[in-house]
Amino acid sequence: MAKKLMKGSEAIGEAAIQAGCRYFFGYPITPQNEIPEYMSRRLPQEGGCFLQAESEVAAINMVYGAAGSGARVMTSSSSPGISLKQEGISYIACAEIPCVIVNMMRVGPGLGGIQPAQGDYFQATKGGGHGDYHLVVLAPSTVQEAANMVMEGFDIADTYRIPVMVLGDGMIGQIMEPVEFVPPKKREVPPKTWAATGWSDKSRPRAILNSLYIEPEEMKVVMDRLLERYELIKKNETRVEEFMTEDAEYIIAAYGTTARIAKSAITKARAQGIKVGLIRPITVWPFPYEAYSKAADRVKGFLDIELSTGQMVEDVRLAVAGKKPVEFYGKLGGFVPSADEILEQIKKMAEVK
Amino acid sequence: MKGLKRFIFILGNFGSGKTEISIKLALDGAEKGRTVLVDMDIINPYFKSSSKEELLTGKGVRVIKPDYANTTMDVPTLPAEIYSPFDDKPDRAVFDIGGDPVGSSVLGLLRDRIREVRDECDFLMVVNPFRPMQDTPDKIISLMEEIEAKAGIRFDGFISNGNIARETTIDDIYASESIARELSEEKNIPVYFTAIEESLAKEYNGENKIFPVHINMRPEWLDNYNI
Repeated sequence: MAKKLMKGSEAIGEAAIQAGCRYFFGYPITPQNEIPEYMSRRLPQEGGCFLQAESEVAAINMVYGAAGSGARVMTSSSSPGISLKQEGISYIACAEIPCVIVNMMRVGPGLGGIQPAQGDYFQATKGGGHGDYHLVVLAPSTVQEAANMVMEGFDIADTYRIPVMVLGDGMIGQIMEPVEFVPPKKREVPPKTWAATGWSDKSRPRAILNSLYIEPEEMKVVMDRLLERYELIKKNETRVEEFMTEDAEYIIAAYGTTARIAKSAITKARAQGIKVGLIRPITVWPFPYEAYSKAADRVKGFLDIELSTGQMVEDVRLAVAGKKPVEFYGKLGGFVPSADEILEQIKKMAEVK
Repeated sequence: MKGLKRFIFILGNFGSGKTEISIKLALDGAEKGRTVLVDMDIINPYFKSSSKEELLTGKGVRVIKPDYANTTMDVPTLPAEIYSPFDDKPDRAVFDIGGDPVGSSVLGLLRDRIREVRDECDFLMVVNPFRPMQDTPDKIISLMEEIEAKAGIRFDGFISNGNIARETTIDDIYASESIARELSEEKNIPVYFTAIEESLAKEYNGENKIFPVHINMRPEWLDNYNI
């Protein structure tokens, strides 16, 4: 029984454990409670620590501290809870501490509701907290991919000393699919010489983890280093999936669950003779601009589909740079479009009656 | 299913398949008589049996559901209507209970009413050994005992529901049955039947009664992406 039937949220929990995560700090919120639920059951079996914090703010600061000691640490939440964590995320980014943060997006703004959405794209990819920083943001579209991303996310975090976010819509957390846990391709992960693990032997400089820089010269050194690292990540880690794009006249831009439904719609459209394909960002930061800009030279138009009022579409338009029309279809309120609904939009774009 | 009692309580591990089985039991019941489905799952935010209310009521099943089911509210409360099947005694009442000990605790609400009709009740534990932490009889028994303690009931039997969604093979069905058989011997209660996705049912060559299930809860795009 190598494969298990798991909910996305459970698979994320198990993947973290398989990747060596032994510390989880969180605060419950629907629709991702199965992550802390799973961790609370499994971590004690592995000699780890699950701790339900008194708030999201406390939880993210526990992540800051525990990850600062070099451990693999994860937290998870859903949209309003992720907003509460933003100050801590900015601090962690500045202190260059690797960790994994999961956001199972629910519909909003405000407290919103518990149904799936993709309204936190701006927050995840353009900052979220204050200041100049980025997270690596991975956007799974299947339960298997969510598990893989969590496992590899820890490696990416450790490689670049950066917080990694796994950005799923609520649906990814709730659907059940067969999943197996396969370690990611081995990376050269540098040793954590920066970690605060005690200073008893005095053989190295003190490990000071900080996000406060009084001297502007010192602040500039940190920011230059972050900038350089972000450029390296853009070069090395940008990932994208192209589906039936080779002969496509139209391209759908979508990520997560929406991309998956789009695939069903594309298959239906192809059966009706409409040449349409999908470009799906696997990393939404760094964003795969090149895939869209290259496609812009050969296709007639783009259709961006999101569970939002239109966020990723701005990046698609940046990439397409006015060369071709980019239309938008947003499904709001916590509803998920059906394949037929997307098919209708494809037909509208391709002007097929 | 022939032989099932009037009040059928479906419990088990979170995600073991309780909802699909409950829907099928209710639809079967409605073909023969007055049937009620009581959705008492207040821990699952998206995929509840009452989200198929239209299908169920269309086939004559009366649906009783959590107060805020199918809304964007997450308020886990149940209406007083959940007690009504004990008074108006339909031919079949299927209670779809939330998973794991945490989801099963709602049964405490019905404890006194259940006591009055205990002889007319079947408490069934749905078993899917492909779920995490459910791959051995020991682990399943330990969960089962936790559910019994939380829900305040004793199980009458098992439903073998081994599956890994679209990748299920007939051998997985048999592997699950063999674990269910061990459970049955250990706990001295029967395996009522083997639930099996309807398209796999014709391949079945085992000894259990089978219960073919039509999959209602999976979104149409979910198993269609691998193209």
